[in-house]
Amino acid sequence: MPIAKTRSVLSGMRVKEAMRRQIVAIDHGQTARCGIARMIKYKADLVLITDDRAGPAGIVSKTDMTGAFYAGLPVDTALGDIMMGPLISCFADDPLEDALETMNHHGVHQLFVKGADAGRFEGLLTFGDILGLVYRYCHRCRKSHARRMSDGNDAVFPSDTLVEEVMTPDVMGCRVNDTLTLVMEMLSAQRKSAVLVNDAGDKPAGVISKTDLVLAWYRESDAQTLADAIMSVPVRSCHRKTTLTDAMARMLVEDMGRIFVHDSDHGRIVGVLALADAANQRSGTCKACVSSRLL
Amino acid sequence: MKARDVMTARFWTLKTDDSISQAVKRFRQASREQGKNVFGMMVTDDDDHLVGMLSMYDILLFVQPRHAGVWAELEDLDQAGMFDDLLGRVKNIRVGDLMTPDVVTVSPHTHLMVIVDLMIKRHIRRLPVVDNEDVVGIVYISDLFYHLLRQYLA
Repeated sequence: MPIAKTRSVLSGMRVKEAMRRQIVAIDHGQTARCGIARMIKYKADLVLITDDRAGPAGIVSKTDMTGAFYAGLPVDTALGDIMMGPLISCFADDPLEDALETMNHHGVHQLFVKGADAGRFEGLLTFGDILGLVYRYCHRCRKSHARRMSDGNDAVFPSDTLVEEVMTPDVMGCRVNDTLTLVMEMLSAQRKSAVLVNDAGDKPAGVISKTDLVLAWYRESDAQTLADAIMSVPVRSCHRKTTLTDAMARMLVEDMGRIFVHDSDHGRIVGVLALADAANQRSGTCKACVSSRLL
Repeated sequence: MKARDVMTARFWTLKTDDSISQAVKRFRQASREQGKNVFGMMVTDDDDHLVGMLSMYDILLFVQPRHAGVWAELEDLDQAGMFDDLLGRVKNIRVGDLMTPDVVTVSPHTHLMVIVDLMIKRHIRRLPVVDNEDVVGIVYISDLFYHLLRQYLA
């Protein structure tokens, strides 16, 4: 009996089509403060740490920095003291689907990309990069929502994937008067990258992501600072019936790692859609790919 | 043929705590006053010692959307409005966060050929002139260019 293999937008694509060339590298002797400044400037989620011979030695991600903040380390701690390893990598010619599998298997949000010289990294692949490629592919597809609108094509097309089909329904929340220490404990225990901050009336008041926590450490805030002092406002959200296409566009354009999902009541958050959730959807923005590409 | 012969002694500086919005205004103000585009500015501390340089490139690098390629696909959206929203989110970023802290400097006595060499090899367009930790001027590549090649202008 033949085995059906599902293909997706990513099938046949290579890592090099989605990866970015820019890698933020910094010497292991530099301070976390310098590392964070580089991350701010280049909008990076991590820095590659290099050894005395400028070779790759490890990485320091926002998660590592949040851990250092929680541990009470000063922001002038050497990056070499908080870096993690080993570096998870792939090759530029690897299939994109394999790279996505590797990211999920190792629970990482990025892969370093090796080229012909295996001792040197040529680029970086993130969920956002994959999503950007999927979005561009789908946007150009003749069956896409955008093309249907612009072409005035009234043929029957597969339905769009909705946010509620892909979102994670469990949303972690804290209170505006919770301390950053508690927020960091929640994020660490749940392995999440952001927490919704609710006001006294249990309405969403803001969001604290690891980026906010890293910035708080950089600005030398105390870990006992209350959540409302550093949270990002407003809570950016979309309706659960929003198409994945529109949600992806918003996340990519507004540079969001996640978008919260509300019900008919804007103040009722029912889920969260992360870049990883959308990237793992693979089939793009409508159901055409999955239904038409069964081998 | 020394730095002091071509440096501009009237220069503008930024402080690390200045906002990006203040820096942008200062760039325009400096360009108007000097009668030429100022693409980079020195950053000094409270003692007026040089601590970094901030260029237009640094700011553009920061405000550039992370997924720039996607923007080209989105003709159907209000891109100007969305970019304004992005800029609105960077209000808490300061000059000190974006500046380049490792700055190559010269002294007033540095020979112009050494400066040419530095500018070419390290792709530098402006060099702070520092004397005993005090900033005394800045050498712009355009001033150096016209100074060295002035006989062609005659």
